[in-house]
Amino acid sequence: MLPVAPPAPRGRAIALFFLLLAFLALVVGRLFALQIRDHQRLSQKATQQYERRLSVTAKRGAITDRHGRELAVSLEAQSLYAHPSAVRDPRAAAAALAPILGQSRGEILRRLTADKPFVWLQRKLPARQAEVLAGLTIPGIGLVPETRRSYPRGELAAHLVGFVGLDDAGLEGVEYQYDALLGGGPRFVTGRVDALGRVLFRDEGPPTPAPAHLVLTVDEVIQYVAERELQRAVAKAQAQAGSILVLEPGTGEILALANFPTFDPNAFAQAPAGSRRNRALTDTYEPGSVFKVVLAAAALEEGLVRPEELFFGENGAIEVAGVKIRDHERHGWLTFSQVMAQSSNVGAIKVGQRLGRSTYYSYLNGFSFGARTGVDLPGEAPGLLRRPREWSAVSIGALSIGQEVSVTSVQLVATLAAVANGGRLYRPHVLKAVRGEGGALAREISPQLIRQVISPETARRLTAILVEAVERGTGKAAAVPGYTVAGKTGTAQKLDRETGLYSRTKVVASFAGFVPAEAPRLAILVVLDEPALDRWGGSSAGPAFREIAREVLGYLNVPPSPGRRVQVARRADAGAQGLN
Amino acid sequence: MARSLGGTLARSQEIRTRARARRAFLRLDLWRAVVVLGLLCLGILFYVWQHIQVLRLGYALEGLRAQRATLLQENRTLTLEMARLTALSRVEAIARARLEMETPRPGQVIVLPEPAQPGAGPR
Repeated sequence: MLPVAPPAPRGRAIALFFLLLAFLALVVGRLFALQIRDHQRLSQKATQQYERRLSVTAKRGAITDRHGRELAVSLEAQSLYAHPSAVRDPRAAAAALAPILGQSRGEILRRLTADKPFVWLQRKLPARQAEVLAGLTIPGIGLVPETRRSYPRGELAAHLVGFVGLDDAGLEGVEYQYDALLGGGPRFVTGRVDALGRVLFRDEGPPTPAPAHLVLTVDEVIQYVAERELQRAVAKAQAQAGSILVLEPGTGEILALANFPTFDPNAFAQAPAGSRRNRALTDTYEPGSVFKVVLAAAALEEGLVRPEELFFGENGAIEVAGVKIRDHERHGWLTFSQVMAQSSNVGAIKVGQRLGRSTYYSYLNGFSFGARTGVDLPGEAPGLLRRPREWSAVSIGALSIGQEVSVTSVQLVATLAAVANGGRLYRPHVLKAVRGEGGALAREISPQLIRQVISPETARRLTAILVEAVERGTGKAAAVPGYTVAGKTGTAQKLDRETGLYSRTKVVASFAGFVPAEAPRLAILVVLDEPALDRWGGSSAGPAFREIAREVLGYLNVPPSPGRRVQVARRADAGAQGLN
Repeated sequence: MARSLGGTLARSQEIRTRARARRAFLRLDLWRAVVVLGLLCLGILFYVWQHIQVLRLGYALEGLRAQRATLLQENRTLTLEMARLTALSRVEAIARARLEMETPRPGQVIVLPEPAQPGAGPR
């Protein structure tokens, strides 16, 4: 017989089979418990562990001048915080932090022992301080990124640009006016982190409007020249304050807006409130003789005067409703041009009486006195202009010489600009363009015409009168060599609040003009408040106008006025002098 | 005896043939099982691999974001520094103090007329 193979040990196989089956059942059962029965609970627990709310701080948009030079930028800055309950040794922590932060130990200790879950120790630290603090490991104390606004040009255009608060919200100037466009501030998105807290993924979150970058009409160079000359004029005349505005007459673009006193927006909290006030917009005053430009515009437009028409100067005094109003100099017969050039109050009042209340009022309204110009900056005052029915018998005389009316500097310079560009009154504005991410142009701001106040012919005749005021009148100090300047001086007595009478010593001295008169590129107003040394507008404000115009016309490469004496060299001569 | 031997031989032969066939069948089954298991393992490995790739790319993306943020910050800091250094007040102070420059006086400015364009004719 052949050997037969013994039967397989079936019992062991079956046992192994059932053992494996039991193991498999265990695994399947566990999977069922994890994936199906406890799915929701475990998913939530996992999400809590790896999902985080991440703060993404959008940088506030930059502000630049018309040539793209930065006036305000945002940088990331670390802020130091503490969870007081998690700080194990507050005294030691305060001792370590005090020398770095430059704060007293007591103050830091007070915050570290406060009964609060969260305290700030210092917001928006300088980079060097943040670096040092990052090297410390103090439980319960940490750094969180925020953004810090920086104004690299310091005081330049401070009133125009404005400043932001701690939370990057605009508080003044363009920062306030266009706060929504500039944007910035914290935004939160959902992200997933690993066991070490490193971010793995992040959702982009709902689309939010990206912060815009603003291009202003101001020119850094013109602004700098205006501020420098204003400081010089205020110092020389020992004035209390001053303002200078430079406008482009054809568009209403503000090329410069300077105030004195001024401040550094990087440290605005340390500056007194008076320094931060944008006087060119907020301060109202009686303009005095510079207001005669409006009177002349109205009278010429109505055809009530001719430039060569003669007026008797009454030897320096005229009575209006029992009130005697004097000239600063006695005059005999003057043409209307000479009335303006010599700034004769007598002549002006006679023209005003000829004009009449309602006609004169309509032109005052036309030039937007008594109402805001609509300049895109906060805090503009409307000034004060009473309706004709509220005028007294002497009002027509007072208003003819720039009294009984309260104006702002921006209203005055807009008026001069209107005369300069053929009678068109434009809204002064500071925003030139809006740029998006990467500098792409999003929107360009067009000049906004308010109204045609006087005809181009009237504007031309008035310009000739104002040229005479500079060449042969009270505005000689404002003459710019090589250029034809049109302008008007103003020396307005201020009201003494104690006596209720006009002060003999306190005045507002001003000069308003445009240059070159035949093709105006600049309309400039210089205002000095209470100059102590030289109270006359022509001699205290005129030179500032001259220096600004001279330097800026050269910067803009504006050729001299035709027929003006200037040094002209031929190309060969220039080469010999090494000028090529 | 011869018949039982022959029958036994035939039966043995048949058993051997069946066993061979079963072994062959089992070998085929085994290979199928191996292939199926292998494919399953590959699938699982691929799933795990792409999951790890996603995690790895997630880390890399976050790393690049952080790098970009650092470079942007550096760029802004340098822009700020450049703006500070080119501030006109600083430039003028250096021009006057160190380079002894002055604002040109009116008589020092010479106007150069632009040369006539070729073919424009006499003015």
